Amino acid sequence: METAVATVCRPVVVVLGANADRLCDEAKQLPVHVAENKRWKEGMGSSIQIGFATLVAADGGLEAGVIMLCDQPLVSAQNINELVDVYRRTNDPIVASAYGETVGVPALFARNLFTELAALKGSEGAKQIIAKHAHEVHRISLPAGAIDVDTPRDYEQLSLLTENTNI
Amino acid sequence: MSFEGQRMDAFVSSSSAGGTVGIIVLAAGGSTRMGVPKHFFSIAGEVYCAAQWRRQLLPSAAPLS
Repeated sequence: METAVATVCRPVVVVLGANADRLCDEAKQLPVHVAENKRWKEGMGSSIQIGFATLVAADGGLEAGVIMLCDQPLVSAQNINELVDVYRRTNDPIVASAYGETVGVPALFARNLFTELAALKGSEGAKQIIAKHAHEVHRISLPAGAIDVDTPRDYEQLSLLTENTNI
Repeated sequence: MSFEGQRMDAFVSSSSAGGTVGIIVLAAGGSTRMGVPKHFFSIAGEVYCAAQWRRQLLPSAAPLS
């Protein structure tokens, strides 16, 4: 959440679901709009839907929106700002991160794609939109995007990595 | 807060383009992995959110000033 706040992007929307009651107080200490997805178990699609509804309600004049995950700890504000810079330079409707064998989030989407994003269902994610519009995607190499934290093992490995590399 | 049935196309078409870029942080968990919501992990029965632990892992990455 702090990473998002440190970017050039405004407004910042945080979508909570699981353990929302425990995270809400912390989120509200930051200059962010907090939205709760009570249907979080259905998958990421419902969170994206609520996120974009909240984003547009907060600022109807938005030019574009970025989606990022909370569990990619090595993604920095600078990485996000680069997505915005590339969008402003190229006007490409999607600027997405390439890591491993995939292209995904964090990714920027121009406003003409908001309706498609808000129509995602269940386990569908932003990757579906990126794949559908593959010919319009500007890819940025972001190896840090491949590292996420979903398990204690992920956490331990990341702890070792940060100790060894002084990230 | 519920946005069920809300029409995004109405929002988009009724507002003027140009200006800012917003950002969405997905921290809802989305589905589950081994009984624990994704983006979270469990140690000794306690569930932790990756977004909170990022600060401990990378204390220099909390540029709120």
